[in-house]
Amino acid sequence: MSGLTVTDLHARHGHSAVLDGLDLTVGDGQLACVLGPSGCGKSTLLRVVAGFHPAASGTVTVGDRVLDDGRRRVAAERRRVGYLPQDGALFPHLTVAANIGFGLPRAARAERAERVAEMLDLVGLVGLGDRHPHQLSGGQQQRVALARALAPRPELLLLDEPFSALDAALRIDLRVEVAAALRQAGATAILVTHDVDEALAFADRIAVMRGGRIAQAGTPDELFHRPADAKVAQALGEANLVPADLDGRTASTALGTLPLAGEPAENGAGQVLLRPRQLRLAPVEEPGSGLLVQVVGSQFRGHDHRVELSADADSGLPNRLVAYTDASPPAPGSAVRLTATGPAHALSGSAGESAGAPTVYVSASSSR
Amino acid sequence: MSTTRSTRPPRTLVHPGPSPLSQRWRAGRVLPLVAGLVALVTACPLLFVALEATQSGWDSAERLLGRPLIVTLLWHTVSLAAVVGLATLVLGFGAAWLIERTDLPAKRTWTVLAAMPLAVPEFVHGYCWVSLFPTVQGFWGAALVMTSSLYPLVFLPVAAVLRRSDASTEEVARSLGHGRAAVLWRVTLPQARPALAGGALLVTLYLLGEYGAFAMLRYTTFATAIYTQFETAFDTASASLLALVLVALALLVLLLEGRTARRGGRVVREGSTARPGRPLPLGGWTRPALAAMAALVGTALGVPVYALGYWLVRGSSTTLPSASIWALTATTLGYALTAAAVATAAAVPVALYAWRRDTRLARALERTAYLTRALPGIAVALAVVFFAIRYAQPLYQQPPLLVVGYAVLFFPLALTAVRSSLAQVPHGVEDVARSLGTAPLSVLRRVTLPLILPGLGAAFAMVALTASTELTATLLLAPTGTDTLATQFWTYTTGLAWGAAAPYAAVMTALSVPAVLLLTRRTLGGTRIPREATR
Amino acid sequence: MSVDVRSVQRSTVALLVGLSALSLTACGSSGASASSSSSGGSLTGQSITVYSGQHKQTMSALVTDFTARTGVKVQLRSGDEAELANQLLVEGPASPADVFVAENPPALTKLEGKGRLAKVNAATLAAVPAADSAGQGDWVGVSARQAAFVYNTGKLTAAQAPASVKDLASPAWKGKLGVAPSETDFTPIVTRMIKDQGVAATKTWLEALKADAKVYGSNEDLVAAVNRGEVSGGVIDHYYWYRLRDEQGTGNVHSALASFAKGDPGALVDVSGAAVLSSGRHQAAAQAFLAYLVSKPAQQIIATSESYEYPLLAGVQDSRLTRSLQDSGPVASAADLGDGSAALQLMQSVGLLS
Repeated sequence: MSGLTVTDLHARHGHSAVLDGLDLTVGDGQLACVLGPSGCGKSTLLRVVAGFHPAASGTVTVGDRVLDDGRRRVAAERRRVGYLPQDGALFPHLTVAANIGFGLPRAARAERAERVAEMLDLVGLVGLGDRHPHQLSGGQQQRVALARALAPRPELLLLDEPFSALDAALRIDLRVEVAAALRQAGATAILVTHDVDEALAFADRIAVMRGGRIAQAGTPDELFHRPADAKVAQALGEANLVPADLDGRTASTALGTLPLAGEPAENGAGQVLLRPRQLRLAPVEEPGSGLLVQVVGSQFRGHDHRVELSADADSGLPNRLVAYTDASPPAPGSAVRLTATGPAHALSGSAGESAGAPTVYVSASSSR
Repeated sequence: MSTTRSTRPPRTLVHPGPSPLSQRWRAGRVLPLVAGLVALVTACPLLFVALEATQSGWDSAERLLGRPLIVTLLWHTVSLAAVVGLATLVLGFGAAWLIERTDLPAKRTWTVLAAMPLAVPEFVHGYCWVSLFPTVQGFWGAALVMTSSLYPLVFLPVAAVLRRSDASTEEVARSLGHGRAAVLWRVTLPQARPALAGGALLVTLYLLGEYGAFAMLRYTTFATAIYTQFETAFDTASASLLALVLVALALLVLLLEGRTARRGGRVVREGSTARPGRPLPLGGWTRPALAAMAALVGTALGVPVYALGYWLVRGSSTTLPSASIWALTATTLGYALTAAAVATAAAVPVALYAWRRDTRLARALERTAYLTRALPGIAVALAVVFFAIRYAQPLYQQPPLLVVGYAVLFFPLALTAVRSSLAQVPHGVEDVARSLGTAPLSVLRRVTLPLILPGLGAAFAMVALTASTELTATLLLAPTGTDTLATQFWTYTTGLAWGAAAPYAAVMTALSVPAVLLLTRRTLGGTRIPREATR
Repeated sequence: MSVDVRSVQRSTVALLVGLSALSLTACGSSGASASSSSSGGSLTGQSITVYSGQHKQTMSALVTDFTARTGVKVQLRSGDEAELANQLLVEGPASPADVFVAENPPALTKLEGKGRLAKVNAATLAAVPAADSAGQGDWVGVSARQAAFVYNTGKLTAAQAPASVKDLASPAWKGKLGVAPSETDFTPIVTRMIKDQGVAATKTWLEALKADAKVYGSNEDLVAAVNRGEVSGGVIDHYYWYRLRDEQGTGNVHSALASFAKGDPGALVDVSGAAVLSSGRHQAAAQAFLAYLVSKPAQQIIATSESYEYPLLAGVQDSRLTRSLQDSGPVASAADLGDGSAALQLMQSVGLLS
């Protein structure tokens, strides 16, 4: 039982509150991701869980062990919580093997050597045990750091933007590999990042964090299609927020009446989310319905085109919209006919944030 | 353990072993405590000077500070510090750059030679220059002698940074269309800024409090006025009052250094991922570069070596040094090495605390230690006398007291070395080590100390080097009847027996050579990564 | 290390044979009236600590001889006079020192003013002329030095040497004269000037020195500068020149000594004295040491040592010194010299001293 439960966690840097009543649950064996802009407190959350930073109040529990209750805390070295920082922080004076074996009992030599070999194999660095960190590439260094963190079989592994220092191609490869290695090891892990692609690719569960608390948590799919509010919607990818009149199962918008994905929190004037893929463009001359909008610019991205559109001020649409299309869009400046395909997702609190953003627990039972 | 009554839910509270919670608190408090204690001891001289200064009457304060001469002396001090500071920066950086970034021939030899003036004690420098070139006097004389003896304090740390830092940023800058000069100015120099600032800090603080060498060079500074009050007027109170002005100057210097070093930040990519770049081909500039290095080394090292040789051969009081010179050498070494170990060990908690917690308090602790460096040696030594005879009477004029005196006097040197090597340690390694189940003391032993080993070596060598030639504190604090090479040298020179003094200066210099070699090695590192046996 | 090794070896035999029997009464037989201090008991085996700002080799020889004669062990702390004075002041009554031997009166006068000195035994004081010791008997004169004019023989003749220090204020000396005003030896000359000429005239004189003379950090530097011709002449204590002569060898001496006229403020003779600290825990042994210093054997050691100071005991002469102490004029009394603070402040006010 090594799931993590964080309850009403507060933490401070000096006098400024960094974590402000944060709740988070990660089930045993899950790979969770905390997604948020820099400065939202996500690194501090990891440091509190790891035991490097004290909680001001609230509780941190792994399995059934309370690690920190705001008054007393278990020393970092007794938590069995692994930590993988941004730059890997390998010990430059130790070989790769010694780095990996660092957290293993020093007495049991044979077992240690065996475990180190196992870990080298897991991260695909067999044969490099005698190298020093400076003789490795950046990606290899991160893999060693991962192996080192996993070697003592921690109950929980914390990864603090571990791929951000790497170049793009390497980053994509490595996060897939790391996710695979973690699943193979059966580890419970929390990755902290500001990169949504990383979060979507890596995690079973995503928790969107802002202002020192979790705004919403759920599966990547849930968060992408059914965000709790506009900011979460934007955190997960490009979003068109379209004013709508909500009525139970449908939403009336400037782009027509669309079916709603679920019951809205309240009927009446509101806002729906339409992802760029839900917008369709058609030539003006082509018969059919749709609103006339102007193409502002477009960008070919290999698998599709990203098109920026602008609508008239009195059209009932936001003045800037984004659509992804497979066909080449008309040249900038030309008009197109815009339609939307449902279902639309009604966003709560569109007029303004409701006090006390809803907290959703990520729990093992609701996934898989 | 489970006494917390939160309304929130924790389930069963199971903890292995006895109270792991409290352990963290102890570990967290020991370091600031030890660091604070060390800072307190090293701040003793400041406390002494402040206490004594309050004894000084307003009248004598007004008489001493109200003189127009004071302004002149302050100007002498500040202008010399500025000129020597700048000159040591230029020479120190220039030599380091030539050695670390170009294809200058015989780099290893140049490295050792360029660091070697450190082996020559300052008073020997002064004495050699004056006896060979009597015209080297006044402002420019002082500037010349001080620059040539102090520039290694800048050269060594800068060379270390250049060797460790990633040359790829310089290559990137070239690729962005910057010429060599622009790269030097806009990339290399800023990378070395913290090291430059640290070196300049030591040089400047040293100049503030120096007296002996200036007396020989007939240059008066603010410290001269302090010595007059001590040594001609026997007026500790007034002397302390004047010393407070030096402390204020030192504060100003520290503030400046803090800003400069901070702007450099920790942007330099170092440690595990740095790699060396290709040395810049000097081409036609090889000869001028070699000539410049030869001129530097010839001036800084040649003059003292020649003068010592001259007196060894020519002085009529030169006798074959008696057997006692070896006993003195042993005494000198014993004290210097012990003091070096103590000062280095004391520097670790202070530097570590400041490095881990970048708080105002931690920085203040660290900075206090540097202030002492600006005080004239006699003030520091008298402070140790003052506190020891009152609060540690059994130790008074016993060997440990001299060790403590040296440690207090040269603590800033040790701190600088440890601090700069800590700055190279990647942040987060200690956290990671703890998350791997290693207790704080074990982390220190297995990770932090091995990583700063070069810094510890440099600190040790630096203090041993300086302590083995120290005079003022030795005269005041050594056990009665104990002589060192420096006090014997002094005894002979005050008796005008230069020939008899020369062997002692020669032995002191010779003794310092291994320390300088060690320092060069430790600071620059023989291999890029320290060896480590842990498997 | 407190004692010169060679001397120890030389006197080891004497020591072993005579040590236990020797007490102060034995010492008295040497001619000086040293016996008076003893309270009768043997001092053998006692140990005293001596802070000495005097010439180290000479002091070592004296201490060795003293120990051989009395059995009193001596911890000799040799250092710079001024630093030792400061050390004594900072130490306060807890000081381990029993005896302080200075180079010039001001340091002793300063300690006397702070009430740190014990009265010297009358018999000891009686050994030397009364004017050579402190007025109140707080310290005793042991040896003397004479202020003199040293000149470079290539630049000046003996006839061109000034008869009076007052003459040095002439612009003719501009750039040719050296002084070392921070030396404790220089202050007494200024004190004498103030007494003879008054504050205003002395100030004018000092201003002229400030304008014309090159200032050196020590007499050692000054005498060497004169010898190599950097300046034509300078005011020093006589013994610096003799020590220089020894070091350079006669062939390399390009300088000579001249004296100021008798009665001139420059023709100053001042004494190096010794005192017993009132806080010392070995008063009797300390007094015995002072008694020894003015005894004939001690004075003879001084008269033949490399320190080249004048012995003060009547009948003991240093034949190497060209001018006898008697020719040099009267010794400046300690009362006249005071602690030198007036002279010091005047030098500071004109900027001759920092």
